[in-house]
Amino acid sequence: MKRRRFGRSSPTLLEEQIKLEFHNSEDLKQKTIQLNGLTLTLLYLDDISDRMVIQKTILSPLLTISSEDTKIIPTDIPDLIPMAAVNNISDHSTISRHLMDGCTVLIARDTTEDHVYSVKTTYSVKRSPDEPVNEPTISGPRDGFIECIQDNKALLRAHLKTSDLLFEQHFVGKDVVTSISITYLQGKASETLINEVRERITQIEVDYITDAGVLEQLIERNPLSVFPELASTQHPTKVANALLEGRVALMTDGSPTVLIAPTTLNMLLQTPDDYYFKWIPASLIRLLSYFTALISVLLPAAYISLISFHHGLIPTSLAVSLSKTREGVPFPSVIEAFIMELTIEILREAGVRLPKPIGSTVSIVGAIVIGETAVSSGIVSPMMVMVISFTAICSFAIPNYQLSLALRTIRFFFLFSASILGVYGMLIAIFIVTTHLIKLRSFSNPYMEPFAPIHFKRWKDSFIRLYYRVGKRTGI
Amino acid sequence: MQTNQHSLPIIIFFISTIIGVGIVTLPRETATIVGQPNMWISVILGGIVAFINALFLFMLMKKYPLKTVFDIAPELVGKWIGKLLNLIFVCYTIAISAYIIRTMAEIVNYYLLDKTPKFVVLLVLVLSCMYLVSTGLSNILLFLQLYFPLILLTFLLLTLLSIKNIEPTHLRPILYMDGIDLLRGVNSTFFSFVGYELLMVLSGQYRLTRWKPVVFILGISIGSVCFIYVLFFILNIGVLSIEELKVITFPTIEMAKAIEFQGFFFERFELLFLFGWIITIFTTLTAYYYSAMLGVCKTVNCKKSLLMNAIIGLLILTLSLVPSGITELFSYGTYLNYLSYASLIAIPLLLFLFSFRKGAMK
Repeated sequence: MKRRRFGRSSPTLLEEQIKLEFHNSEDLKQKTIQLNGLTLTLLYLDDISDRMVIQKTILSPLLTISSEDTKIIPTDIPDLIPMAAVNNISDHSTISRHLMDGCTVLIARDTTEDHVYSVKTTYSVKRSPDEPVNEPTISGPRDGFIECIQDNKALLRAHLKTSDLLFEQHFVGKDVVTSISITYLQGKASETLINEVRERITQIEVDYITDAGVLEQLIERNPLSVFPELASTQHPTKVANALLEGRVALMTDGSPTVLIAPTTLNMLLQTPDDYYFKWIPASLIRLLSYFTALISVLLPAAYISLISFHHGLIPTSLAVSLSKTREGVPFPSVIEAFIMELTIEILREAGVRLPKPIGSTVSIVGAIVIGETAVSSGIVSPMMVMVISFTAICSFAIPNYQLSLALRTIRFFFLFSASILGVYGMLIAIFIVTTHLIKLRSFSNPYMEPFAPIHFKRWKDSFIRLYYRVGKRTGI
Repeated sequence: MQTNQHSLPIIIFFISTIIGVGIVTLPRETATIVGQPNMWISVILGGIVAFINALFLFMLMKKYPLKTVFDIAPELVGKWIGKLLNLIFVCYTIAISAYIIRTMAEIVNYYLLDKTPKFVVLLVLVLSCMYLVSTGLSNILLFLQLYFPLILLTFLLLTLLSIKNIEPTHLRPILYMDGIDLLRGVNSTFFSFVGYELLMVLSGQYRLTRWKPVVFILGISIGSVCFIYVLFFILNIGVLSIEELKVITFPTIEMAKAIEFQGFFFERFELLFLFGWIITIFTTLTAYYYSAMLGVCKTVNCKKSLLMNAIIGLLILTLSLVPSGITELFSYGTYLNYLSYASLIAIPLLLFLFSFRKGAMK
């Protein structure tokens, strides 16, 4: 759609042009009133504007005044309307955006000129800021972002009561314009980082953005990587923490997900909960989440390589009991592992797609029918079922869903290399993956920080969380 | 370079480069030459010689900041002789890479994958190294930093778990000196410190011009490697005894094999140790691989490209497949020592002498 330019010089009236831009849509309402000395035209989109507000705050005060004998000039209009924000629109091309935000646009026309004002009269249906479904917390704030960017900003303001919090608005999209807000704490976030984010946002050329996930893929620079270049969350506290560390958050209108840049692997393995508990249990939980991440990637590969290449390294008694459970299994252990992995992945995807009441059926079918029966009929060994399901549970324990997706993907790479070259193949695969991670930059920030480059001082908030970090954040 | 923060990556670079094959084969080599429980003194002497040599190399490189040995050789001795010297240095780095990965392949074949052909074992290693080298020096340094704590942890675990296996009688007589033998041992221990010569390559990107930080870096790197070697020598002698050391091909791994876990998923420690050790081999390979590539690119004036990378990888791979068995491999080791003498002492000395002549001419 081409954007039309508005101006007095064009032949038709301004309101006619706007109506034309909206293709004379039914819900674009127009009301013209005559005041002393000028014509006032109100334009609003019926469904997203609150008629009561329009009547109370715009129409009735103006009509009251016009019944008196004073002459009104257009520049008086903002003073006559009892609303906090009456914006003067000088660039007429932005009128349609104001209308779509639910504003009422006032066109005050005297003999010489059009004066355009917009008044916020938004009426919208929103859900309440409930706890995000995929990021539950044990203690700590339970609010979550919703689909409205204004409310999200309000939530963030409520968590970060500082004048340094800045929102920088950008508009992205050719067909449908989406507003995106670059959020940072002045003085905490570095200027180069903000510039880089700004530059990537302005470089976006796309028809429309439906969700933060789309935005994430548009501004990342490593499309071939499985690892997320930006952290995404629906928790205001998580965003607040990130901002305090000097990171930048990106809010997308219409999406409850907020992106955080830059991110590190370390950051993806943390939860806000870690900071709410005492440091010793919190450190143990951190260690556990690192451990589960490792397990979820390496366990099937390690099991395969021990079973099929290095029997000698397993203790004899364990080897005997393992080989007993594998008796009568018709497949080599590699095939067995791939079958089980695939089954688990399918079950997991089915569980996500199904509505909640039926979802439990999947787990019953998965656990009893597939697990139990497959073992008792001798298709897979019980040990393999145990290994694979333990791996799956470990990958559920990873705090960040994007990361857990990435680790699920590379798990197959490890499984494959272990099935060819055993432990040695696994090690080579580890080299390749870590080389990739080392190479990876999230907004010019090394992904493996603080492990590479080594910052021993920051290790105290990595796989452990030491005491004196409470209430104090040391930036990225 | 003044602060710790900046010298740490370089210290890690040197330590990861120096530690490699030596840690598993050196005890045997030294035991056959020295043959007494105090042979760790040879290691210290070797370390001192290496340190002095490293200082000498720095003396040369200090005159040419932000230049590698490959840049200054053509400048000092003329274009073609300089290129020849560069080629010798590149040959040395390729040969040493081939030697260490072949030794690793022997060990992998012996302890982990007895049926897999060496070609496959080496190919995947060189390919993954090729990927790392293609990411550039700064990323290589990051990679080394990531694995450095893991390597140290493996060594620490091995030390702690081996202590209870030590037979104190093996270590006696303490401080019985046989000067001549100890000095002869230096000849072999010195080569296990090889890796610091990459100072001449690293100086291209890192401003190493002042004495104090460089002496600090070299001292810490060679010193800590020396410490680790001495520790492992004592452990090796204590656990296996001198007589056994002389006949065991890879004593340190055998030492790790002697550790047994009761009631755990894997019985022996050697798997964990091999994990850590293969990492050190990989880091050493990476450092030499990178130097070889840089050398070739500087000598024939081409950009670092994937093709160049692949050619170097292919050269290392082919060269590493030349020896037919482990005995032949170790006999190639002596030729490698000659190459080391040439690159560590002869070339720098030549360049150093010429640098005076050039200075006088100006």
